Amino acid sequence: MDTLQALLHGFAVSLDPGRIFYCFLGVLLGTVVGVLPGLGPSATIALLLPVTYRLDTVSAIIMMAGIYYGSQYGGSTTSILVRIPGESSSMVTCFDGYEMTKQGRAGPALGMAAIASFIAGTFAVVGLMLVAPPLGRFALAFGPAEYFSLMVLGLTLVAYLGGDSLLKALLMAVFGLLLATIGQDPVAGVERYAFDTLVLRDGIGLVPVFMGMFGIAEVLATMEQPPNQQRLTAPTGLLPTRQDWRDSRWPIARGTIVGFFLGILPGGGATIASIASYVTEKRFARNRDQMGKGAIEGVAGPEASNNAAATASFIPLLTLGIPANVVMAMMLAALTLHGIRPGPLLMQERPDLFWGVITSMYLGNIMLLILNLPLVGLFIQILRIPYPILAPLILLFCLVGAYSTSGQVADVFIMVCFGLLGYLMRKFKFEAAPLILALILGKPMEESLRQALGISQGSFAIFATRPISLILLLATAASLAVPVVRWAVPKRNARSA
Amino acid sequence: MRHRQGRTWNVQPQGRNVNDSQGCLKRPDVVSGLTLVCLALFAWVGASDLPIGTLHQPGAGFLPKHLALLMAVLAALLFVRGCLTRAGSVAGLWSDWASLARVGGMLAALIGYVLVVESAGYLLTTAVLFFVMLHWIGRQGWVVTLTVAALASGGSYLLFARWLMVSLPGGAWVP
Repeated sequence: MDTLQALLHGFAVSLDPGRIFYCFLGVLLGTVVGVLPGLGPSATIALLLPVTYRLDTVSAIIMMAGIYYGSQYGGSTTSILVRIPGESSSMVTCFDGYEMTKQGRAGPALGMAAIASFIAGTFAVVGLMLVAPPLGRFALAFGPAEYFSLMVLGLTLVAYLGGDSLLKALLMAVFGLLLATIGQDPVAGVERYAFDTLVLRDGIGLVPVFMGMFGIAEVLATMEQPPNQQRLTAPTGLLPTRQDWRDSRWPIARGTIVGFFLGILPGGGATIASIASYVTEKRFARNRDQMGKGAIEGVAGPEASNNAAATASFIPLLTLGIPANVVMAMMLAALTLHGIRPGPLLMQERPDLFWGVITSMYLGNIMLLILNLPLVGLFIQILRIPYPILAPLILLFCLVGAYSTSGQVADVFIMVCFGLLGYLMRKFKFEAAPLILALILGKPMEESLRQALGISQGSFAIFATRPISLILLLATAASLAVPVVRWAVPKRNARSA
Repeated sequence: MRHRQGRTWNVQPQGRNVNDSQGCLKRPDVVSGLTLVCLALFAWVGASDLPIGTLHQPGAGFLPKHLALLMAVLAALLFVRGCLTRAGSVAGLWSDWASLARVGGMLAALIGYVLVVESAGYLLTTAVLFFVMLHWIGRQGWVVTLTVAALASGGSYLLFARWLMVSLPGGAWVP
């Protein structure tokens, strides 16, 4: 069956009215759970797993896929409006999205987030359709050594995220890595810094940290002003301007490519993809000097990237039967419940499922765009609420979000602590991004390092002798050299002038 | 809406250069450097019982101890840099006492919430938190305070606990 025929067959499957309904239900639920912090797609899919058993397999998977990529659309809304990341993959959208809101440009930010998500999601589906099998095999070439090198490359991004002081950025990165060591040691299972508490045994959850460092810290900072001066700028304009479009074209393209390739890698995921896209824009965007101060590139790139990554993460699942992240593991469980074993033969054995799910993503992305663009006007009305009333509502969102991740009040306490930390970091001019990045990468990095050393019987040569790992380490060296060269060259020029 | 003007916290003595007037230990980078050195020492002590292993076979304490050491060095560098640059003061980071009081009040309300939510239950604690936030910190009138507190606590309970089936604390009186 050639690709065009397969695609037509897929559309015949996904355009069934019942499946269109489940696709719509999935993307709608995805948007809602994306907007609500703490309630992620994995928890939603887990809750719905028993319900989907009664559905036919294709409809069930179409709905669950819709929840996942729909949540990437919804996650940006609270990031842009109130600086609370609805999903961890929308964390970097806070940086420029919220600054745009403060400048009265919440409408264009929300609109561009939806449009960038649509474009990236659609291109990623094309990629998934055309190059899924060879890319799936590429993902298998990633072992612990390659992962470690990838994480090290990721950590060098700190140099670009750190703001004015590299020393402070490094300090926060090391602090983040130290925080990531809390909980059970990934190899021996020894407890570290858990202080005999249940909540710290599994390590610090990312959701309470995000909520605290962004949501709570922002409210605390705004509370400094007298109540009559606490206000967000009234929004002007609903959709991106022509200039916004011009500025966002390349960030969307770069974000899609970065997200697609990082999404394929098991463990890569939408969060790392969005961070990588943000850093890429800090290097290449036309208005890179404005990044962090309300540049639309800081919204368009990461939002494109997290959607492309969410779609690409289906590649290893559908072609190899390997889940790339927790949500994909849930999908694998759903497929297994329905008696289906995903892998290289899925395309031949169940073309209706493989192509039906892929083509449903085209439909789902169109539905999401239609659903999200009109909602922009509704969402920005939130900003008209006086801040003294909005502040406790934001807090409520954070409190429930942190509590719902584990059902423990200790997580709420952790969130409050990180809120205070985030507030003090702002006062003392420390950036939050390096700490968050290190916290995300810390655990998998340690795990990969120790596994790789276990495989090589303690030899560090494993990182240099494996080609992909070597390329990644060379990229790390180049990435570290750029800021040093940038720092040195103007000084030399200044001396010679 | 009632507003209260905060008492001004004068941190810069008139007619004098702030950089000259501040002692080394009052500068932001010095304070943060010193705090982070203490934190690094705490991390080192906390990892003291963990096996460090070898470079080729790292143990559970390998990363925490080395990271604590690195953090201590970087924090010490920040401390020294803060001492040498002679800029700013910690007191200057806040404009007046009233702003600090609002931030402190909100933090106290949040900590209070965490302490009592399990025993008093979500509905009651959330309503009280809203009351404190709206009336005492946000300076809202009684009608707005009571209406928003009732709607927000009740509405969020319905949304999260009933419709989205999120398990929220019911309180000590719920079996």
